[in-house]
Amino acid sequence: MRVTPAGACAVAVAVACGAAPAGQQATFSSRLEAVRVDALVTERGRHVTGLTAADFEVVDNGVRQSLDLVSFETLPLDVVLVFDLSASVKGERLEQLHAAAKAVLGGLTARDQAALLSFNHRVQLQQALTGDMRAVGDALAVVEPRGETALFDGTYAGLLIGARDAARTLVVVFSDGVDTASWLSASQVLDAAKRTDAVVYALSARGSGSAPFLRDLADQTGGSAIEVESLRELSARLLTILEEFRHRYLLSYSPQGVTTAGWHRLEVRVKGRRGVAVRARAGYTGR
Amino acid sequence: MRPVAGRGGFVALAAACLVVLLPRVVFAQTPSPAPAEDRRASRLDRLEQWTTAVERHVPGRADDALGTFRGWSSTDLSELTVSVYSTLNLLRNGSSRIFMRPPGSTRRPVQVFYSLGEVRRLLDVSRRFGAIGETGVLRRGALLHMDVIVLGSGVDSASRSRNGTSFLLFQFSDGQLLATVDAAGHWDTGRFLLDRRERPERDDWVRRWYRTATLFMLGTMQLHPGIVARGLELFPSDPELLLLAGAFHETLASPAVQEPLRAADLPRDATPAVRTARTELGLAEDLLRRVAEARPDLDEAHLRLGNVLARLGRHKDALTELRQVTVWKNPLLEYYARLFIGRSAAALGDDAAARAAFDAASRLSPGAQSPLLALSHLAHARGDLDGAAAALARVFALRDPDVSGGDPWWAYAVSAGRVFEISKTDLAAQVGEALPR
Repeated sequence: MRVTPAGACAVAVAVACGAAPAGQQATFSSRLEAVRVDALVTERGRHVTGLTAADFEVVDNGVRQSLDLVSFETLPLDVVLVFDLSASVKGERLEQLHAAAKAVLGGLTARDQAALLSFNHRVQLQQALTGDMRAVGDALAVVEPRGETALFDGTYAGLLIGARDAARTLVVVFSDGVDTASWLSASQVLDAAKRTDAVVYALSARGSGSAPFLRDLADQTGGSAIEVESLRELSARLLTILEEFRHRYLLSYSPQGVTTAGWHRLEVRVKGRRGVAVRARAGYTGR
Repeated sequence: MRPVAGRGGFVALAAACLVVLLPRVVFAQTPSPAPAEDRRASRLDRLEQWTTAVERHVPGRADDALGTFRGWSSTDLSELTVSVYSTLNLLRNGSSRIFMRPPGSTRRPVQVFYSLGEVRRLLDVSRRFGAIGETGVLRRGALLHMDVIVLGSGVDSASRSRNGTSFLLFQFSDGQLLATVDAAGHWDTGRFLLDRRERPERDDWVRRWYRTATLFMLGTMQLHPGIVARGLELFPSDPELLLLAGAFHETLASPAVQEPLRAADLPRDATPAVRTARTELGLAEDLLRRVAEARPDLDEAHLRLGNVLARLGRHKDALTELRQVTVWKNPLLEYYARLFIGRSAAALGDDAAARAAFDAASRLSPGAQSPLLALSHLAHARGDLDGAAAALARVFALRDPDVSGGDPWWAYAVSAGRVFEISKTDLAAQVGEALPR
């Protein structure tokens, strides 16, 4: 197995994640005080733009909340690519994955960051969050698929990579197989997802055993789970995901009238607009 | 501490997982495409070739004798068992001229017919059997067929396929179906030979053959439930076989077996010899509890029973079982035990005990990611983001598994087979070297 540079740089990176980069800090000083909800608003399949805080209604455990802020296309993105690089992803599948990663990295702006985390039986941070997209692409190019699949372990690590940053975090999970090697269970990862702000878009090969877990994860975080017939579809699908994510609203509020701890069920609606669909996380676990 | 390694390197990651299905048709149905006269000649040729292989094979050595079966189909092997059965009858009663198929191979007794010339050849072979001794023939034969698999490809697959015979093997890798192939039937030929012992249940060598076979299957994920079941039928109270059978059902319940089998497109007439995960865990619990009660000194029984109970959601019972062992004699088992204790303690809300157990596991295997991921998740669940990130940073900082030894958790599924080589050497030593020509 290749010796990756991830081990050497990862400690520094993970520690650095604790402090948000300059220029991004003003938005939210603490996740403990404010709840952020990423919401996609569509009408007949089209993104709805131009909404303000007054248009939204957020209900937290049955209590209507007052929104502090609604952002749209203003915050930079942290895109965490969590890729299955186990033995089953070889040959053409790997080439398609490379092409897809290249496409999504090409779609990011200078303000965005990306990271690459790979998993087979081992979870490896191939490239920490960086604005250098070439570095992310290069990191993927040298990974050799082998071994078993620790999908749950890899997904958990991916959720946490962007958890300390002030940017919006999009976690893209790709797996073509079933988990055969994780220590963490599916329910533990879903539990962790309830405690992060990350939105997960999950891609899996049609018929693969990972689909139910990825569907639950996407539902939990307000993202989407997509099963692809062929990995040739990956590039186009990822670009669609990126486009969709940029059209999401980021809602923020300080919870009022509810206890802090425990599970908070969320309902997000757009007021006075029939036929409008809102996709957002199902809730969050308060600390 | 290094994970269990075996032939071809890191077994847990390299080995394909094979699941054997119940027979589609019984052995009696032998759809031979060859003309009848050729077929009879051929089966006697094969019997003679087999006898030569039994005489010449040095147990445990990859010698020319193993090449005898190159090109044989599963039908050829099942026909061989009929010829061997006839020869054994002649060995016991040289004047016998009525030959039957072996019991169990057909629903009703079926006679086998040989020409006079063939009977003469059978008599010649029976004299060769006599020179080795019946016990020697059966043991050496069983070991020969084990060696064909163990020292060959590692898989009991037929080099030639004949439709409608014996068993199917489903070959998986990384949770995905790679191939469906005909089983050659070497394991079953070994079982057939040992069943010819007058009282196989009283022969400790037979017990050790089943022990060794099960160890190999567990260590390489080449899973043949029929062999394990037969071993238990013969030796229902043997603690070693009970433990291995418990571990076997624990493995059959694992996602690595269950998930690809669920997704596999099985032939209509094939019935998987694997039940649902919950049923397999229930079987494992029963077997492991029996051995834990009979032999409380067997740490591994408590370990595996603890894991099975936890997987069934009974964490309190799991902790009780895991804490039966106060001093773990084997560091590999202790590593697993600490992980399992941590998991069940966390599930019961005892974070301090969980953290202590995961820390202990990490100290036992500093190159392992599982205890660090567990610590990270534990911290995250408490809202301690700094702690979660710090533990995760340690995961990312781990050195290459080839250097650090990796995570023994990855090899848990095959760890029950870790003493296979010792067991096999012991088995072969009792049979001895090649016979003098």
